[in-house]
Amino acid sequence: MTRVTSTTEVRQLMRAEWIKLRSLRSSKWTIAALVATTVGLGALISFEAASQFHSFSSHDKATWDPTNNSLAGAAFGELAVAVFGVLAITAEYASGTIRSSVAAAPRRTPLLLAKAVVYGGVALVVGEVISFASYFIGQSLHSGRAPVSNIGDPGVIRAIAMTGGYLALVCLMALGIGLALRHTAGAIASMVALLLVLPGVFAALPSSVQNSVLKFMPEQIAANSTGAVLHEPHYFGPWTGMSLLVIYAAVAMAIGTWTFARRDV
Amino acid sequence: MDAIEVHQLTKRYGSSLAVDDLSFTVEPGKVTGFLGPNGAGKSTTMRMIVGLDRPDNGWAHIGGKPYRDIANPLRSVGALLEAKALHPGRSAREHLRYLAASQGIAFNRVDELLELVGIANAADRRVGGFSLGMGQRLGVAVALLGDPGVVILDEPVNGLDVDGVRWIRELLRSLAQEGRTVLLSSHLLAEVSVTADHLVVIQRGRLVADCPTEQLTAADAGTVLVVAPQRDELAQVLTKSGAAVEVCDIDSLVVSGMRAAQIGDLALAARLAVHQLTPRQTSLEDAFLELTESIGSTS
Repeated sequence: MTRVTSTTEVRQLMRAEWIKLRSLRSSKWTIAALVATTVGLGALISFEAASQFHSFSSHDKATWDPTNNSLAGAAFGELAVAVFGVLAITAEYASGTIRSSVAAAPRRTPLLLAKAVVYGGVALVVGEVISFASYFIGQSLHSGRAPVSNIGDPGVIRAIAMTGGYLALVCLMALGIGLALRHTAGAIASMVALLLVLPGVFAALPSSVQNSVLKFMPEQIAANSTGAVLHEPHYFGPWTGMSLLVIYAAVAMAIGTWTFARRDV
Repeated sequence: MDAIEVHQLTKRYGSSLAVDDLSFTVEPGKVTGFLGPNGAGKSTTMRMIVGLDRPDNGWAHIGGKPYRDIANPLRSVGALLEAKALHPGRSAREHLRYLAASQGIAFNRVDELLELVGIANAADRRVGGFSLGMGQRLGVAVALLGDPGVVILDEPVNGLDVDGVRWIRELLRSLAQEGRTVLLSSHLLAEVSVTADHLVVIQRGRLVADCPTEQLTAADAGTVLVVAPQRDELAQVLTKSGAAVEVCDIDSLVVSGMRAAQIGDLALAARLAVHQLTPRQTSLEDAFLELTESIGSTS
């Protein structure tokens, strides 16, 4: 007779995860870093672009996407949200809390489900809020010096919403990698490799190879999904790209869950 | 209340067997001491009982089912497995609250427990600054959070001061009197023999003894070294009263099966001088050896 996971169990575990998240300084700090980098650096980039716009080349002027430009801070915020996702699990291993958590939820999979919903949910809500904030701040900074976009323009809301969604998906990829590796430093290094180092390495390859490999990298997918206008012909379209990122996050979580369910803690 | 059943439990780390075909039952209403030298496999066994480690063979059941099949397990089984199973940056209250939330336990139970274990005034401090003793008290609070019928404590007196040790002994006795199942590990016979009604003794992962406490403490009664000028006369008196006497020197005897006080009384009654009366405890290792010979592997 095996016990069936009930929704009550997952709800209780979600409440527990929420208390855990709220009661640690590290989660507040990483969220603060996510907000500061995405909104702050986004504003800085928008300001810089607006003041340089008059000296842009005609090609740069032609491909100017004010929406994408205002959301550029997310390319830095992704690192903060990756740390947030990694620490959600590796901090438990480092401190030994994982043993208390598993003793309370010995089936383990509901525990991870609750963790993914709570941490992914926080990343999504915060991600959406700061993406919309970045957009409006960016447009007001562009205004008068460079062409601006309007929230009602085609693709704009999609681009903003996908920026928040991207941040949540990075959080889940980080959680999955953290689960599989169990160590903070290793998991963060892997996320940095995935988001920043690998694309740099691929960018050094001949363009024929580059185009077929780079389009699979999360950040390149994000760059193409968070613009209102599509510029990069070799890359995936926004919906295909985002679907691919959902698959990445699901695969990372599946590998993490699989290892976590089998290992001693 | 539920019993803990351990059946042919085996855990291998690399080529070494940490727990080797171990079977025993822990009955409700008693304190059962889980005894063995450091590294004997006690902690590993306890971790397998609560589903943290996966056995390579055999099983452990609580109330007839594996721990992982118990819904809201902390309401049935409370465990203190190690003091360090909490984040140093979290307060004691938040640690207890998240565990309470995970089991659907109301938060006023958290406040109750903070009072009960005596750390209410430190409840909102980060546990990273706790002493080992306070950490143990918080660990006991975690174990008792769900008012469980089964309580499992791994070396709970570690780091506790004299008051703390007395407190935990009384607590465990009262839990057993309420009919709960209490399993308490220690590497010190003297420590558990005070509290435990029953002992399960393991060494190198294997069962050495599973018997009432008296049986093991009797085996550990040790010998008494007696220095007496009239050695032979005293030996005769003691032998007549049931002691086993070994002559070991010109004026000394090694007496077993009799306590020092009784030897002194007998010597006084026989008007024989005693110059020295030294109880010599057998080491736990010796007690184990004696047990393996006298009791065999099970009672």
